[in-house]
Amino acid sequence: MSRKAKRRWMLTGRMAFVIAWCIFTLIPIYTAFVASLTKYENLGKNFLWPADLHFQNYIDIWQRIDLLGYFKATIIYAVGTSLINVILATFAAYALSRYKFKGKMFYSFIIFITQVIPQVVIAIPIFMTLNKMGLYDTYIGVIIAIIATSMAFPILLLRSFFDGIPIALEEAASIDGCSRLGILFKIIIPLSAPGIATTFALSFFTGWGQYLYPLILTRNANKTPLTVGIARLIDNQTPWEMVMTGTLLAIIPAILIYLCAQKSLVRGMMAGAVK
Amino acid sequence: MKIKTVKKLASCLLVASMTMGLLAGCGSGSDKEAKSEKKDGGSDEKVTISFMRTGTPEILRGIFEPIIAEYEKENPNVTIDMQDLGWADAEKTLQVMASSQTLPDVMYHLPATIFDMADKGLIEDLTPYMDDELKEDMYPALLEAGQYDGKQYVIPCGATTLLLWYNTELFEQAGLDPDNPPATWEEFLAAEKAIDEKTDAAGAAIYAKASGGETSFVFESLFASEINGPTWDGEMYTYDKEENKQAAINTLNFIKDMTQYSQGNVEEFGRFDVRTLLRDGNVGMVLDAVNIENQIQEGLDSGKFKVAQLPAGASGVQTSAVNMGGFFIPTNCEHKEEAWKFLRYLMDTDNQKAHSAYGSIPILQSEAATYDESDNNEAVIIKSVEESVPEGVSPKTNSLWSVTGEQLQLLMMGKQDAETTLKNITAGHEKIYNE
Amino acid sequence: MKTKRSTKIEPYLFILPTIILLILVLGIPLVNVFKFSVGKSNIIQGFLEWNSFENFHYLATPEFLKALGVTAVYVVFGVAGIVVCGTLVAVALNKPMPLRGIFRSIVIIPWIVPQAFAASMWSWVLNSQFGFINQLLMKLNWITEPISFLGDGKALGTVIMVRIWQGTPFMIISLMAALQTIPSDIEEAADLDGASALQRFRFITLPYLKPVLSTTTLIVTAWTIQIFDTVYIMTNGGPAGQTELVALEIYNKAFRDYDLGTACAIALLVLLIVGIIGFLKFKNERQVEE
Repeated sequence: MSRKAKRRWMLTGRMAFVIAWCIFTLIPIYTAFVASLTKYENLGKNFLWPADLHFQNYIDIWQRIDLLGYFKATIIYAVGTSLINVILATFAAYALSRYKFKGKMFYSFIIFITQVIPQVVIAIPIFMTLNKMGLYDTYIGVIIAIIATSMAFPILLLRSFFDGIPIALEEAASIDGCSRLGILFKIIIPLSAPGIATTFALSFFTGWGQYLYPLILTRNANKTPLTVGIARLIDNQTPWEMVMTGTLLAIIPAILIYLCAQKSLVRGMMAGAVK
Repeated sequence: MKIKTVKKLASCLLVASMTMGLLAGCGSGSDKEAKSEKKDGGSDEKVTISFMRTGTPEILRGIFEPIIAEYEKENPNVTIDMQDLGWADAEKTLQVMASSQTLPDVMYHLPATIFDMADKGLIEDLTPYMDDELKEDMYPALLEAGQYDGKQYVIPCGATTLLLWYNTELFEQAGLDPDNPPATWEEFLAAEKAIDEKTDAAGAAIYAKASGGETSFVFESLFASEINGPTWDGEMYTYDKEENKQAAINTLNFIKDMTQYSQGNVEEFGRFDVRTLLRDGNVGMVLDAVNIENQIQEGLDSGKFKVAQLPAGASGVQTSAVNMGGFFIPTNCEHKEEAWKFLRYLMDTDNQKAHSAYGSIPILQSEAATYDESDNNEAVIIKSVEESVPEGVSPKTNSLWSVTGEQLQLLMMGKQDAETTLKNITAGHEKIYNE
Repeated sequence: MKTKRSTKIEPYLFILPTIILLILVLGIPLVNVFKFSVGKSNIIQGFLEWNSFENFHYLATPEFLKALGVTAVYVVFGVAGIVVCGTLVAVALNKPMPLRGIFRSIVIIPWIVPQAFAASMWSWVLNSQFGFINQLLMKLNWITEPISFLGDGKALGTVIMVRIWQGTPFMIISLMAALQTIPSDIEEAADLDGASALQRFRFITLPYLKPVLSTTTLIVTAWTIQIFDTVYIMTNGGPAGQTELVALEIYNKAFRDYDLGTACAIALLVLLIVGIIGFLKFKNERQVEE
């Protein structure tokens, strides 16, 4: 088989696999979409195609629940989480990657352990603590709770990126008189742009999809994120068409953000290549 | 951003401590003065009452906002701050609010949780506040369902009995009389069989998804009509008692028999799912709560669907347990008099009637009087309330339900017989009673 | 590969912010979890009284051991599925192909769908009466009887599949980022040398992915152990306890039985198990480093 033919077969195989996976991914989304076009009375009749084409749901939802307000709170949680997470993780990952220090193992172990504490259990004690600190029902309270239990991955991911950057580059810079922080900002960060963009995106989604923390750590209606706001509709007689309309609307901005982060990722790569 | 927050925090703390200082300086004397002033009603002191009704905010706000507006107009010194809480999060949020003493002044929830909090001293006993008019107007079974340890902690305002909902068209196709629905368990099984054999639909819809409360309610209601008596003696379920063993086994056998002509895979179905089965004509009958109405309203209006009382067991009385939720006032409430006044206003016939539209049987007899008696469905519902017994509820209810639900699921899946089911339920409950 | 610098305080400055945050937001609460676990405790009143490790007795009951077994199956198969699927998709998407941008955004969708709603969506896909798959297969005449995906014997497999659906995007995102770091000239050289696709994957791609892969696997394991929303909604532990996960037990103990003590005892056990896994990994890593 010629190399060209082989390439074509590979491409076909890859395409087929990716398409199959996308179908698997989209089936539930499709049923949600079908439900979102259905009138309440017809829910559950048919999921092959919409029983109604009730696009009105996409207009009504803005009046029936405070979707705009939920969006606002969600964005605050997501942006807050991702920004602070990226900053903290960059510093911590740099220390882990470039220094030997006493307690390093213990530190990385503790960081990892934070991921494992079941949210259901820790949420209540966190609430008690934040309440004492006067951070109950504040955005920042929710954000720091999210970060505390989600910073492990950003740190570990960035560390593996930093580990991949040759130390020689840094040594050269340090001879040129760059300080440690200077090295971090001028060399390490630009070179790990894909890692940082990914960290940002992942933290952003973490903040976007949070449920338990905003639920338990806030009270005021203006701090209700999309997840909690939409879940309030769940009842004996849940208007599932509205829940699904809301869910689909909530997914779209997150995907857009991810795509933007990906673009900056590519640009970061380019910048790295130029150097 | 961080610095700002810290600054804000610091200033908040400062203000808070200054306020505390001021308050301390005033002493208790002035406190009493303020209270007596309120009683005179002479002051125009502004009071805010926070109010929370668990459920879908978009429907509840439509019901309560007009009532609140009216109330605020009549009581210019009072502001009602309505807050939202969905059922999906209710238990978690409630316990968090209770632990931080921030429960709203007037709140709706289910008695099991409220009684647990009452045990912990967090709920106000409303007995002294109750007036005779309210006591006499409320259905006795409901009034009783709100009591725990002889105290009225809950004012019921949303309730349901278990009813038989059926499809008249399928009844006709199966050669059954739609105006004469099954009134006993034998008739019910016969009707199920007829529908299953003579139509494309299954006889009845059964829900066995492990969620405790739903199926426990079915068992308790059927058992109530088997013995025609209470299902709870204040300490334990009466079906856990040796003397009622046979009655309990009969009831469980009936539940098992029902699955013979039901839709398949009962363990996959919860209440919401079976409602769609009835609505779409896939099953002939279902035993369900009154809030099914909202899902099959069209068919009820056209006469396609009808409702009957729960078929009777050995006692021949078509009784059912009544499951309820209601308002309560927490002890952390600062304006209990004002809170009660608002709660009492919500219990006025017209307001309660508006509230019942959310999916409840009538709570007040004056409310039932406004129902259309010539309407068969409404008459049936009222009769079922009158003949109901209170559902057994205690702080341990949720744990007890989970045992019952799990065992009933095994029974309905055909994995164990009635005797074993009862044995396991009783043993599981025994452990919880003794804890 | 480490530089040896004499600066002793520098690294601590870098990790200081995370340490402060951890102590404040997690340290204190975690101490409370310990405290709650050794006494009669509930959410509303907190710690009530010491009860001589009575809460830990629950960990020896057959009920709990069964849940532990179910959880083990769930985690092993769930994580294996996520790792395999995630790697395959990431590698397949790494090279240019038509519509790659669209595929890339599609594959991450499950990550952003909140768990509670994902569970409802899947219930509709799988429901035996009106579910999408059963309706489709019936229409195509491939089956005559609906498949009971959430029924007896199949439910655990189904919730594992849903877990894979949910967890894979995270794997894909992380691995795609890691794949970017592979210099393309190495791959091209291997290609020209006539290395087969499998060989290239085994000897070039995999070594590059390994650090990220091992970290993500660990994290995914930790997450999978505490998943409960989806299972809670789809089966609530049923049928007949076949999907009763440890995370569900924790939830039920804390919120249904008002027994925070036992919930915390279970949580500590989970923490211990995952802690050991993590410890072994970090120990292993240090040996590699030294």
